[in-house]
Amino acid sequence: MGLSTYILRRLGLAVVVLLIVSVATFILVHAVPGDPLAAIMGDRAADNPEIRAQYEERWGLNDPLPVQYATYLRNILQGDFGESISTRRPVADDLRQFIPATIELTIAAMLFALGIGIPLGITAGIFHGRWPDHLSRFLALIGTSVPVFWLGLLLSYLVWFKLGWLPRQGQLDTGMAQPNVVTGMITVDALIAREWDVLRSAVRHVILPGIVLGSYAMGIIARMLRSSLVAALGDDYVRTARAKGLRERHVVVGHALRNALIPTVTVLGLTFASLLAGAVLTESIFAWPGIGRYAVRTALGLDYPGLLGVTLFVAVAYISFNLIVDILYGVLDPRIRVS
Amino acid sequence: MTDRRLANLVSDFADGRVSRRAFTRRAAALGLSVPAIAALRARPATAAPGQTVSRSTRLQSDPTTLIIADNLDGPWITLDPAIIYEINSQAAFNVVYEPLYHLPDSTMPEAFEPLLAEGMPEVAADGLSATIELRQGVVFQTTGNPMTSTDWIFSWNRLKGQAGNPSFLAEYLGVYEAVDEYTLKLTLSAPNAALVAILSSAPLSVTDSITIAAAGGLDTPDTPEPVDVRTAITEGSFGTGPYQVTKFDVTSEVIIERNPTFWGEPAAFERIIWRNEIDPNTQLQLVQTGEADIAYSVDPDAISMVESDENLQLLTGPTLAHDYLALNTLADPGGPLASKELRQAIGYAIDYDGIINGLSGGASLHPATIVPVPLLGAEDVLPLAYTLDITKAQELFDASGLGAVELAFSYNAGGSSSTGVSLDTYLAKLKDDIEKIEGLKINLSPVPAADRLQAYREGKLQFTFANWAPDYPDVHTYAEPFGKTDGAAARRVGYSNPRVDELLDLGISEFDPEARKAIYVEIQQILIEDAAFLVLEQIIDRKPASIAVQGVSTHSIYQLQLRYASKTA
Repeated sequence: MGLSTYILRRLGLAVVVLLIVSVATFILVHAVPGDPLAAIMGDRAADNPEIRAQYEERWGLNDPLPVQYATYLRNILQGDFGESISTRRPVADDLRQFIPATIELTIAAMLFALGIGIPLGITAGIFHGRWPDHLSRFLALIGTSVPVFWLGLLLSYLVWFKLGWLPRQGQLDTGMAQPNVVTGMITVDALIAREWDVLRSAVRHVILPGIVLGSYAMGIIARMLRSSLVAALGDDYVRTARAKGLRERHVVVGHALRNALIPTVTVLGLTFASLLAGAVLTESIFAWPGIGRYAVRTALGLDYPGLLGVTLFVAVAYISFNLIVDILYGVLDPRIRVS
Repeated sequence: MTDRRLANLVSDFADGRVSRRAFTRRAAALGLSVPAIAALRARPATAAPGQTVSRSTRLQSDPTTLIIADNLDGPWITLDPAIIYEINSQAAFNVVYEPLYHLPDSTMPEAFEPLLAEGMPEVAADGLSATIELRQGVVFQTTGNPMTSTDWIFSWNRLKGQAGNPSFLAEYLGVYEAVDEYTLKLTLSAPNAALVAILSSAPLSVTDSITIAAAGGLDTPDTPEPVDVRTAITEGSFGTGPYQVTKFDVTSEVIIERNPTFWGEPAAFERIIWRNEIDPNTQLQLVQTGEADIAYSVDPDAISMVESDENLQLLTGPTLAHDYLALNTLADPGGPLASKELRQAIGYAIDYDGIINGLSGGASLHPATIVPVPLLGAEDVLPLAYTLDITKAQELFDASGLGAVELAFSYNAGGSSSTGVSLDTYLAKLKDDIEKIEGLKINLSPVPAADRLQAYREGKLQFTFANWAPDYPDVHTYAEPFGKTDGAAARRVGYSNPRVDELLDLGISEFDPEARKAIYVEIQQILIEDAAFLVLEQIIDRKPASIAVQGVSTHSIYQLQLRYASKTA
C-alpha cells in the first residue's frame, strides 16, 4: 500500500472515530444530572413557563435526544456548531477565537520543551552516569514533577510581580490593538502585518505561560531521549561507526540520535495533542484566552453545544497528530514501511 | 558579589548613568543570559524601588486612561440593554447606555435624578398614568441619530420581545406610547410608587432604533433575535452615554472611549479599559504594580495590606446584595421547619458577629430582614434583628415541642459566600452555631450549583443557603418576591401571609413617602416574626484602587459609579 492510500484510509477511519466520539459525548453530557438553563436563567425568567419554553427551543432542549443529535449533526455539516449556553455566542466563533490562542501557546511550550529538552536529553545520553547526566536528569525530574499551578504562580510572582521582567496576563499589553486576524495567532498575524511593537508584546506575553506549559513536556522529552540515546549508543551499528573511525559528533548526531528520536517523536506528537487539550491551569493563571478555559467553562455550565465543540476539536487534534507521527516514522526510519 | 555588582549595574542603568550598549556588555560579562539582558533593557528609568514599570504602567500613569482589573470571562456576557442581567458589567453599562432616570449616589436610594428625561414623571392623580418629557438635543453614539420617543418605544418593545432574563421589567411599564417626538405616556394597570426606580434600571435604557433595526434587531413580540444579530449588537455601541464601546472581548479586554457627541459634560477619560483577570489577588497585584487603577474584587485577607499601602485606597460602600438562609415553611418538605418557633430558634442561634467579623473580615452588615440598608424602613427595624441568644433559642426550640430534630441543609458544592468565603467553611460554622440548640442536628448536603438552584426554585429544599441581588433600587423589589404569596422567593419556601399580601398592595400604590415607609416597616416586622428567611449578612463592597483615582465610588446598582471619575497623573 502506498503512503497516499494509507493516509486516505486513515482519514476515512478518522471520520468514523469522530462520529463515535460525537455520539459518546452527546450521550454522556446529556446523562449528567442538572439543568443547563438553571444557571443562566434569572429568577423571574425561570418562573415564567413561556420564557422557559423559549429558552428550551433556542437550544433545542425540547426535542427527544435522537432528534437533538440528528439536528446537531446536520448543523455541523453546515459549519453550525450551535449557540454556546455559557457565552451566548456561536460555538464556531468561540472555537475560531480560542483554538488559535491555544495553538500559539502550545507551539511556544513545545519550542521551550524541545529547545531545553533535546539538549538535556543528548547531554544526559552522551555523559551517561556522569555529573552532566545527573544534572540533566534532575532538571528533567523537576519539569515532570513540579505541578503546573505551582510553577505558574511561582514564576508569575517572581518574574512578573517582583522583577517585572515579563508580563503575566493575556496576549498583549493593555489597550494594544490586535493585528488583522489572518491565522488568529497574534504573533503570526503581527509578523504578517509587520507590526513589530505588537509582535514584541505578543512574544513577551507568551514566554511565561509557554515555559510553564512546556515544563512537563521538556522533562518527558529529555528523559525519553536520554534513555533512547543510551540504548542506541550501545548498539552494534554505533560500535561499527566508531570502529570505522567516524568522528564522535557524527556518530552521535548522524547515527545514534536519528534512531533515538523515533520514540521521542511518538511522545512529541501525543504531548502536543495533550497540551492543546490540557492547558487549563496555565490558561487560567495567565488569563490566556484559550480552549482549555473554554472547556472548563462549558463543562461547569453544562453547555452542551460548547462542550461538544471542544470535544470534537480535541478528538481531531489527537487523530491528526497520531497520523503525523505515523508518517514521520517512515521519514525518520526508512525500514519502517506502511503495511 | 556578582549579585551586588549586577544590582549596581541595573541601578546605574535605571538612573541613566550607563548606556544601553555598556549595560549589555557589562551584564553579559557578569554572566547574564541574553533574554535576561533583553528583559532588563526593557526596564524604564522611572521604575519605583522594588518595582518595574511596564508599558501598561505608563498607560496607568496616563490620566486620560482608566484601567480596571475584573473577571470578565463569565460575569460579563453583553452590554445590550435588551439582554443584560449580569452584575459586574453594570459599571461599564452605566456610562454607555442611559435610562430616563438614574441614582447618582446609592447611599441615598430615594435621590433619583432625571437623566434622559427632562424632569420627574407627571403622575395622574389616580396613579394610573405617567407622562414623561424627554431631554432634547441628545444624539446616539457613532451615528449622531437624534434620540426621540420612537427609540424608547422600540427599545422597550425589543426588551419584551427578546423574552430574556430582564424582559419582565418592561411589563411594569403597562401600555406605553409616544405622545409626540419628545413625550412618552405610560398607562398602568395599577399605581406604582416604584416607577422611577424601575425606569432607572439598565434594561430600560434607550438604544438607537434605526441602527439596531438595520443590524437585524427586532422589536416584535416573542421573537428573539438570531445569535449572530445579538453578537453584533453586543460588540457595537448604540447608546447615548458619555462613553462608547470600541472593543468587547471578555476573554481579554473591554474598551470604552469618550463619546464626542455626548449631550452632557464631556467624559474625563479618553478611554476606560477593563482587563480580564479572574483571580482577585492578581487583580490587586495589577494595581500594586501600576498596571491597573482599580481592582474589582479583593480577597478579605488582603484588606489590611491595601489599607497599609500609602499608594492605595479602598473604595467601599454597602451593596444591596445579601446572603440568607431559606427555611421551608411547608410541612413537605419543610417538616419541623413548618414550626415558626423552630425557625425563630435558629435565628437566635446564629453568631452573626462571628460570621461578619470572623469569616467575612468585616465586609458585611447585618440587616434585620430581607430588605437591605438603606432601603425604605430597613434602618427602622434594625433593633428587631435576630442576634445571638442561645438561651432564647433553646427556649423557643423547647416551646415548639418538636423533640429531637434533624434538618437537611443543601448548599452549592465548591461554592463560596458573597464575601468570598468557602461555603464548606461557612456552613461548618453555621452548623456548629445551630447545633448549640440541644436536640437539633444539621446534616450538611453539598449539591452541584445548578441542581441546587433548580431544586430550590421548585420548592423542594428543606433548608438552604442562597443570595439575592436587586432588579432596581426600591424596597418593593425585596418585599414583593420574599413576602408576596407565590412571589419569586416566597414560593420556594411556601411562605404566605395574607397581611403581608395586603400591605404589599398598599405599599406599591402609596406615593406619600412617610405613609409608604410605615407600610414597609410593618411588612418587615412581620417578615422578621415569621422567619421564613434569615439574612446572614449584607455585603459591603470593597475595591482597591490607586490613590490617583478620584471621583469614583462603589454603587449598589452600577457597582462602580464612573460617571464622575477622573485621575491625577
